[in-house]
Amino acid sequence: MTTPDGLVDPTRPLQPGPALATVMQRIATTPADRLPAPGTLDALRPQPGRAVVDPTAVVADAVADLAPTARRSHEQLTWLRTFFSASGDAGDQRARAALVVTWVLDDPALRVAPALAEVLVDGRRATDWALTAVSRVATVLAPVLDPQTWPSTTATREEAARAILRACGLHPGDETAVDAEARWQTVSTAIQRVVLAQLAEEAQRTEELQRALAARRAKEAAAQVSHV
Amino acid sequence: MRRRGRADEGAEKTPSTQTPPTALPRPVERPGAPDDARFAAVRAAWTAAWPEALGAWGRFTRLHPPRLLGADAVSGASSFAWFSLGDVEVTVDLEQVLDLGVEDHAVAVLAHEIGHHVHAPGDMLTAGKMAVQARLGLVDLDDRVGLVTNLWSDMLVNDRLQTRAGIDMVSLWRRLGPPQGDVMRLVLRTDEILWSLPAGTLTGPGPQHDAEAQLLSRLVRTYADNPVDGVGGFAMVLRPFLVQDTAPGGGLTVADLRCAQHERPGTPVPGLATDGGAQRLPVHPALDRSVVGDLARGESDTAPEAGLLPDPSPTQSLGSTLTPADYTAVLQSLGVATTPEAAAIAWYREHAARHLVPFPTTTQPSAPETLLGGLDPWENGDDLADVDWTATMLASPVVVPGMTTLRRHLDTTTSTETEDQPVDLDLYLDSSGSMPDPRHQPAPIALAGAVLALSALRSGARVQATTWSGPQQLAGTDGFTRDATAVMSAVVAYFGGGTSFPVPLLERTHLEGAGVGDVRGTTDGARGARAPRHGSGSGSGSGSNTVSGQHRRRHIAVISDSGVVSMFSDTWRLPEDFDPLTTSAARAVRAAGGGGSLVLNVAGPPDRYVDMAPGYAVYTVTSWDDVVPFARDLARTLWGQNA
Repeated sequence: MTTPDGLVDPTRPLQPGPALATVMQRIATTPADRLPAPGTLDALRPQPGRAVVDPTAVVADAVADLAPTARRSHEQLTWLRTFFSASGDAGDQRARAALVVTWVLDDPALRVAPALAEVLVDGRRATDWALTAVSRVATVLAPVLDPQTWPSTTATREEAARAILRACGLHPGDETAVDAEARWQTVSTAIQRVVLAQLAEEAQRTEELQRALAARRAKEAAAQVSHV
Repeated sequence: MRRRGRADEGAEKTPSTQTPPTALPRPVERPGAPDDARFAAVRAAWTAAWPEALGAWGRFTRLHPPRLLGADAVSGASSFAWFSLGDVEVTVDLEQVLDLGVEDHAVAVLAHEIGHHVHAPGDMLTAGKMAVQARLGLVDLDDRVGLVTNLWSDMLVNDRLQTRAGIDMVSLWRRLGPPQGDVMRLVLRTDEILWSLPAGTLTGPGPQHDAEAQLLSRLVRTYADNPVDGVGGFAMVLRPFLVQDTAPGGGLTVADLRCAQHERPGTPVPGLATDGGAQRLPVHPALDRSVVGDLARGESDTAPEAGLLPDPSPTQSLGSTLTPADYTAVLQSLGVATTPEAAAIAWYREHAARHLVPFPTTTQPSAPETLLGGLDPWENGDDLADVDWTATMLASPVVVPGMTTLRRHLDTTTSTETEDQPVDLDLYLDSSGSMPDPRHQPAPIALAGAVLALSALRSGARVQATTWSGPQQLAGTDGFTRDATAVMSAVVAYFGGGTSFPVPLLERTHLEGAGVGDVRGTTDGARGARAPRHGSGSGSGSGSNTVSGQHRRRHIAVISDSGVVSMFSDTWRLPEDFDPLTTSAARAVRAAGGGGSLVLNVAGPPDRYVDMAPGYAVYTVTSWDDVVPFARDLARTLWGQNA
């Protein structure tokens, strides 16, 4: 059973990308200024001793670097600012996720993937591809796994690496698409949450049935007791 | 009184309805054929691999080398390697190793078996607790308890070896081939997830139970170092698969395991019967916050931390310890049960141990000492053995019988030392229909009997235990004995018939010249106890029950309920002219000299019984809360009887 996750376009099969270990290593070496604590990206409240990071500028620069031939449009910057100013914690999460995703997209090892060759030569397609990856990871993974934790453990590095690859339309080059899909189903926090919720509901139903059965048996047993 | 165990019952069934074994019998070993070159090579390789296998569990792990059984050396072994917690030993059947082609995986196999000794289960008590939790999780699949606990232990051991010790368990599993049935597919799919293997690496092609495998993988990591707390949830997840499993032979059983646990029948499991948390209900892993963390947030916020079901036993202060029937089932799943009776005896012994009281003793002079006196003439007609030949020959080299023969005169002196003589116990246990069956449910009244009997035995006394119900329904120790098992057999025996106290037996034991053993046969330790006992201190007694001419006193104890009236009267209503001082019970307790106790399972004040039983102290034990006050009062009363 495969649970959809919103990271991939179901109509497009995933293509081989870099090895999983390569992406995990890239995530592990994420610079500190791309891992701000929650709520510290607000330019109006700069942190003492730390530079103010503008996620919109960082993402726009990363996209421009990926697609030098594309023109940086005003609409693109507006879209990014709107995307990062979502209500509640969502905007902050998205912005912090975007900083890590663009760090991975900047990795030359990713860009040399044959499957991306066609995309990256076209500036417009490359821009769309990069922004799509950023938005998918930021809206799907960031709400269930805080971006600041992505580099911290093997498990979170693997989940983040697989999520970013999937959002890019890729799967680890050292795995088959089927294996990568199966492994994603087991490491994805979002999918685990759905699966565990289903199992929990089933377990609760079973317990309620057992409780009702036990009560019925107790009632029957009590009716059979004779006092001598 | 022996009941046939489940394995015996299963043996009578037809093959189509045969119940799977809960635990496997130990394989039969015999002297094997001499090793040929192939066996010798494997034996050498596996012997050499043992230190490395031990090293997988740390530098300081010690276990004696495995027993490597060669050709034709074993029969009845379902697996090629097994362990015994009772013997603390690993055994490998090299013949099966060669047949399965796993001879190149010595370190993995041996390290796995060592893991059962040092990690999961580790010891018999942990194995017992695991079996209890698995049984609760399986609800009604008692015959799969051994299977589930073994699988759970295997998963914990394998995961630790693969991920922490660097032992290649994957290659071993791949060599053993893809699994048969849904249960093993689920277990191996879990391993695939745990070890980041592509789906199908161990399970082969086909549909997978990914959701449950994901849950189990979390469970394994959560309870990696706590096999007891995780096995209940494991059983709950596995249960539907065990029901549906359609592997060849009608589903996976303990006989299908690659690694088995074999214990000797009768191996003790100390601490299991009194484990206060044994019966706590397991929590399904999907509802266990330790397993799912905040992933279940929102879905199970209404669920309590530890499961949804209420405490199963709020009505008795015994807490959630096992009942004797549950205890028997658990021992059977461990393969250590002999009979339900033996299991019940172990249950009551363990519970009684904490309540044992000092039993009264009688302080008496030690045995008289013999002193050598002078020489007297030996005369014709005296016993030839009495001749002191040394003195005779010194007196005259010519021996003339009756003239020159001498004998040594012996004097006796009273010892200045004293010794404590225990008071024997004559115990009567009511097992009429109104009493609870101690083999199936916890019976406080039977526990009180066990406390009495074991207290007496601990003090060095002998015990005659008699279980009684209706007329001719008597069972017991056949006299006074020091055999604790025989005594406890009487404590847990049950007739469930009418109520008729064995007054003739009481009279024979205490009021007649000969004891009960003359009538019903004796045990060795009982012979002295049946010597004449009237008139203590007669000075002429000569039996093992006497010291310095003193008879051992006896305490008469009766475990019963309102049926104890049959001890004093033939009818339930006492006659108008009832004289409590002339009943056999009253005369017997006076003759016994050690006092008497009536331990009764009756509601309300026991005044009525106090009046009809002069010489007896009356205690009421109706619930588990009464056992401690009973032991306290008994100790206080008996201590005052020290003479």
